[in-house]
Amino acid sequence: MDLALSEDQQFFRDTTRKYLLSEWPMSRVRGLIDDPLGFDRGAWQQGAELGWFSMLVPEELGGGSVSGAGVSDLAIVAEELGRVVFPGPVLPTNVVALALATEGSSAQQAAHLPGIVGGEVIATWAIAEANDRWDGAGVGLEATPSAGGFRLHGTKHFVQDAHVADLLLVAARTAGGLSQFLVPATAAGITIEPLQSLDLGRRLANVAFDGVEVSATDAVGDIDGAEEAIRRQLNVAVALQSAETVGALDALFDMTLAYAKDRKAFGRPIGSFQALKHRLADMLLWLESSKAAAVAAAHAADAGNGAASDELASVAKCYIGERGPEIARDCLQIHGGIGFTWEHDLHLYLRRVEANAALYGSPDRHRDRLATALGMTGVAVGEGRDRG
Amino acid sequence: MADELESAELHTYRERARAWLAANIPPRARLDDGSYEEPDLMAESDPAYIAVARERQAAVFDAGFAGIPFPVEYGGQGLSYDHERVFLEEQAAYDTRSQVFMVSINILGATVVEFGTEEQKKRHVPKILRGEEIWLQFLSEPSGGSDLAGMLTRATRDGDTYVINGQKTWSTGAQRSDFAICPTRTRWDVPKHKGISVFILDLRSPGVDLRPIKQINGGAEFCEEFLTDVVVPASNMLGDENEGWRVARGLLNIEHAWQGRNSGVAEAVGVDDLIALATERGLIGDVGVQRKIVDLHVASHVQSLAAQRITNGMTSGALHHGYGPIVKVGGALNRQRRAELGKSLAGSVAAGWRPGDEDRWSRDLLSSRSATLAGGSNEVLRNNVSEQVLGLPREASPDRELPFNQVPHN
Repeated sequence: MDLALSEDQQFFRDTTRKYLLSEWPMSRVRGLIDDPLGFDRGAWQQGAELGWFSMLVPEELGGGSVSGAGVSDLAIVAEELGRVVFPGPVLPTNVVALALATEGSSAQQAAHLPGIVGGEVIATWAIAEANDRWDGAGVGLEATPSAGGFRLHGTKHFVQDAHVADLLLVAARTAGGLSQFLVPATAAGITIEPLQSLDLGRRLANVAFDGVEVSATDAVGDIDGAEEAIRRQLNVAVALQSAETVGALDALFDMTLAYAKDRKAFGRPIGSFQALKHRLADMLLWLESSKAAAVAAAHAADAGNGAASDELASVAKCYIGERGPEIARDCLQIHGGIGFTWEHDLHLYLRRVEANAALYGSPDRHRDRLATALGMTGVAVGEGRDRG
Repeated sequence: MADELESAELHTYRERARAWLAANIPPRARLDDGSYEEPDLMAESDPAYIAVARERQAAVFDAGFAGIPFPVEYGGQGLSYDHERVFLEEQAAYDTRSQVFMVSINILGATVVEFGTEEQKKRHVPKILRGEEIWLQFLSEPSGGSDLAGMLTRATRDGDTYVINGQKTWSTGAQRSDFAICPTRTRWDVPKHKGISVFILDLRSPGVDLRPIKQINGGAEFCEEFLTDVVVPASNMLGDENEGWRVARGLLNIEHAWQGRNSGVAEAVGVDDLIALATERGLIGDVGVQRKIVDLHVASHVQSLAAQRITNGMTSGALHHGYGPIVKVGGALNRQRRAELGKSLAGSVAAGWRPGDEDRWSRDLLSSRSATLAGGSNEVLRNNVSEQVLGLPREASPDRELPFNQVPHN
């Protein structure tokens, strides 16, 4: 995706790609659709050996990136995962690793990072709520002081693969602001309600916290001081999600282009008709533009958590969240009836692209974020316009 | 934002360019809402305007900011397209009048570098870069623009010269120009791509008659040209005889690559003027309006990123050289979307205004319609991309293998 990868990064990409192409044919992904977990814990270990969980963790904490730019390195993995519609919470696990590496206490880092980096521990990020905002302002789950520390009340929505997670990173509202807590998924008072998932390679759940007891030492970062960290986590999550979507789109586009050359109608390949040639040329423009936006969002996240990272994460989300589904829908259209069948792999990609567009803040959410950044404050963004 | 993430070398270059521009070129005039005032539509045909433009281009050249990616031996700077982009971004705030030389330098100067003889390059390229010679292209003809290889203008050999007869059209800025790159047909008994020869044509030659064409936006930057028994030395041929399609195609590739590089910069204009317009019209509190403006901002920002990606990819060889046109397709569509949104936000004021009042949004709407036509229509460019990059088959074209004198034409 990034046309200017270093030699080390290319090697990293090639190793990941080779593993995924040989070990993760679509038949294996399909085989997990009806699996109770929908996910292969054995593969997690192999991913860890390939470095999938170490990129956002510094070397002194047992991690290490390829180039020093961990988000860009991880975006390389995300793109390859998208190409095979890889199941499981690789992205949210990395978001939790990032939070622990940058905000966690040394005790938390020592207790959890080796397991996450080594692939023994799966963590996921519980950020969204019923209001579907995915940012700090949307956090309503309350952490109220208790004898032992805090008590969590509220429900997190659309938590990815919560049913297989060992740890949950929970964003909560405390008396003076936002806080994050690391909670074992088995803690008393947690109820995981599985959702039906558009993406067949990925499970979502609503997670209810009914007076879940946490201690002050479970807080990741300062109590009341998590706003900046949550913003950074969202920017990184969107950058990685963008790379994953682009990987899926790239595979889908190649598949569709090959079909347009191969499939004949009226005595000639359907890809020789201008109606399709022009469509495919536009799709190529959107795809290349999506790649450029995803790469820029990852670079910006590596450079720091300033205005540039906010801007590029939301620009990538708005663009890829709109054009990505359009490309995928056009790919189905060009395939004709065969693209509408369960047995064709196309819908597995389409589902991932459509689901990614919705999660981590819809394009409209990110439009509102950009509107605010551009100084358009005619209506307070988010006020009275929640779309639940 | 752009310079927040760039390398130290480019950042230093940017600061040097910024300092030089501030000290040597007057800033562009701004309107009340902070946007730049566009030059008067007739200004570019005004000799006094052009004389100042030439002086400023000479200053840019002498300071080492002209022909940034051109080879040093022909007066260029031998630097990267990223350096060129940085300078273009910085000069956007200054009245360099560089639009007068855009085509001349970046398309035609570059074409001479690629296809010219050593003598042609030494003789012309430094003068093109310094603004002493302004060049234009004679591509379209009244019988067809998209079907470029179907040209009817004829060149006939006569000793050491050729004699050219025919008609060209849609040539931008012919009145102010000194030389044209002019493809002609030199053989009629072979298929259309095999009988073309390209000439460097001195526009002061006897028999060249230029007539401005009035456009829908009131301007007249286009001309039609009548060529009657125009004599050109054989040494002015660019490329080989009857092999001119290679030059014409190469020119188009250079044009598309340039349009790609430039569209990214042109996109960096921002949406402040649209926000100001929506605010003035009392529409800025409307979430729908906000989102439309944001969409344009997103499209512009991504277009600029895509232009950089594709330019760098084509330069390094990571991407096929045929990618250029899709950047132009995207840039042209954004240009039109921007004008359409401005006109829509302006409301009835875009339909009726007092004499002397600002008519920019209606004017911009009209002007923007040429974006998807000039320099290759979006439809032809989509064909080019789908064939060259995606490898899709051509539509059946009955004229490709026929000798040209047997091909039906207008």
